[in-house]
Amino acid sequence: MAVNTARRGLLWHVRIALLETRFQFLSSLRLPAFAVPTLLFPLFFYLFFAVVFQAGGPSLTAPTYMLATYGVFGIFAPSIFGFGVGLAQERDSGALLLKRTTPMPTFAYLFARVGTAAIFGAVVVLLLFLLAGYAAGVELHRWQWFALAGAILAGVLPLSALGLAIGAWAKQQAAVAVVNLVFIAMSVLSGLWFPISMLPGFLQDFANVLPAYHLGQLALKTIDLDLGRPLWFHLVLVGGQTAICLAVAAAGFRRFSGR
Amino acid sequence: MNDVTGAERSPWRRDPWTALGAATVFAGILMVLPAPEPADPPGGPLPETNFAVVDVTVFDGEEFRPHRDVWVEDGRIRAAGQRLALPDGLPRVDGRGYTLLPGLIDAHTHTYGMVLNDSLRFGVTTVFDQFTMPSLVAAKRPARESLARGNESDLFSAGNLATAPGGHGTQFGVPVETLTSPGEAPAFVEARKEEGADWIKIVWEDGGTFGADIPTLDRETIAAVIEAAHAEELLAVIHASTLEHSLAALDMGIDGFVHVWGDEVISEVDAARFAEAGVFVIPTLSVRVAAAGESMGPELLEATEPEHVSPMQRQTLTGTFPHPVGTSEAAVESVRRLHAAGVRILAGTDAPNPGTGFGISMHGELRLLERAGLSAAEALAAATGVAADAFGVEDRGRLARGRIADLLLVAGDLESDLSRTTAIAGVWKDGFPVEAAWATPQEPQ
Repeated sequence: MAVNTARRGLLWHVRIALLETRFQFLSSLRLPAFAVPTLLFPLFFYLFFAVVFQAGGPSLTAPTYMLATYGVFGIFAPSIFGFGVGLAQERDSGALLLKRTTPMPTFAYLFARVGTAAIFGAVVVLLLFLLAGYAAGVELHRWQWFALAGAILAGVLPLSALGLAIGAWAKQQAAVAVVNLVFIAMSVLSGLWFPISMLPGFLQDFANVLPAYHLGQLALKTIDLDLGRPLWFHLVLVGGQTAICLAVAAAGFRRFSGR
Repeated sequence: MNDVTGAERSPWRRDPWTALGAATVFAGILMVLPAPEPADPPGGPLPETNFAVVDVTVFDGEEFRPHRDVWVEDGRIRAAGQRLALPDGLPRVDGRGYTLLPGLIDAHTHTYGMVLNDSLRFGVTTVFDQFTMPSLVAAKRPARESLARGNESDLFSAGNLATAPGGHGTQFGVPVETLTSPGEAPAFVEARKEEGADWIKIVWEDGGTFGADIPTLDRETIAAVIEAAHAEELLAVIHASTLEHSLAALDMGIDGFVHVWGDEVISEVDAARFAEAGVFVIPTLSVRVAAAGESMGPELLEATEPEHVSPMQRQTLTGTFPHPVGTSEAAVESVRRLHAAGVRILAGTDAPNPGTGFGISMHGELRLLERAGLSAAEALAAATGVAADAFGVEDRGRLARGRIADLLLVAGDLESDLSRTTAIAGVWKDGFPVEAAWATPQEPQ
């Protein structure tokens, strides 16, 4: 290897993390079964429900609201599938073991997974924003465009942690089913497909245990369309849920390593 | 793996720049996405006729609704809601940090002179007058049916009140038609309707509570006037100064009370009877506290810019009753119980009695209603939506599509601090902004 593994400064870490991200991104991109639905699902949903159905209406509330919720939906798939399915596959096929024999630090592997989800997420967010701004007529203050993009993309971390917890425990074949179930059920129950207020009361209460619900509310908060709970409430709960996911994932890895 | 890590063309060296470039493109697109047209803060001249107030907390006549846009077109509300699709070039007022509410309705005044101008400056865009000269009511009627620019509140009135010869209401030097027997009631009510009275106000006052003995209508005549009013499809409201008289009027089928009595506190059982009958009460706590020597006047003058207060407002607001009697505690407690029982409470001041001022005292009445247990939203509803509904006045008292654009804009969040209604940032009447400062020369009295 031409890389000088002895000089492990900050730049080295940055570069190896980015390099691994590049490969991870390319391999995901070359898997159309992952890339195409991930990119197109939220865009089609938004196009139908926010642009076509709402065209010429007196209020831009619905297209603006859906921009936040389909935005979170848009980062959900790359985040949860990358770890949940990808990790289980690499572990069961032995690829993960191979990677661990290379000098690449573990953090670079994790960074690459999260980074790949973030890149896919950023592309979805950009396309959604362009659709919203130029086809649905959504107008946001400049800071709100940035805050909304930031709030949506920050959701990659908790949702990746959720994927990590699934991927660390589920077998390769089971992982696809489990992740799909969690992804669809949580999207609906968190109010990402239609407003949470349309759900019955007990399901609205139940949503508090779902990280995607809090991410949706945090995104909606940047555009003043959330349900009005305080910021800290969502941050504390989604932070706690992320910590639980990471702990579950760590336990799963210990089991794998000890095998 | 060799070719990617070794040479100069390696992504190994380019990756950080690629990432930076991608982030720049991302931020660049966010920089050009559509943003709303700029809105002016309310400090400068306010727009008229066609405009929008954007991202404002709206009180719609019932409840607070944050982050709303309100679009005014040709003197009416074209639309109110979240994130309205507003036309390009429409003047916009930036409502962030402000509360926009329907123009207030003072449900108990006595109108004369320039007072409708005084009311309007303080955001009271409609007054429900409970006794004035019928000629004045007729003279002011065209203004309330028009959306043209004006500098006065709109007037609805009982006109000539129903009282006994020499009774309460006849002492002001204004000619008053009186009646003495039940048989006169139908003709009396018909004459009021002819004059343009919007409802019938009855006086039941023997002066007992303030140590006087004055003639008043007997029970049979009062019952007959109520019946005659209902036959003419007019509301009948009553001035009754004791709980006993009020309960008797309730049994006669009265529609509303223009004061709360001050002699004793209503029981919860009787309050429930009021609620069941569906009547409304205009407590006029402003005049109740003033009569007890606890006028809100000083507090209100403290909260107001001096140049907004006309000489007449200042004069009546600082006036005192000749012989202050009792306290206002019983009246406040009765209002608390009526409200708790579900009786509709309306805000009214009884201006220009001593210790009250046109317009300005509505802001004191809101504080007094809060003291009697109404929430900020309930107190404001008493001054807007509930009042309009009680008197069957359409197009007013609510901030909603199609209603008249009578609006009050105040700085701050009323839900957390109702006393901020005096922080007036703008008043619109029929979509036209109202001059904030008192500027019209006072009429010779």
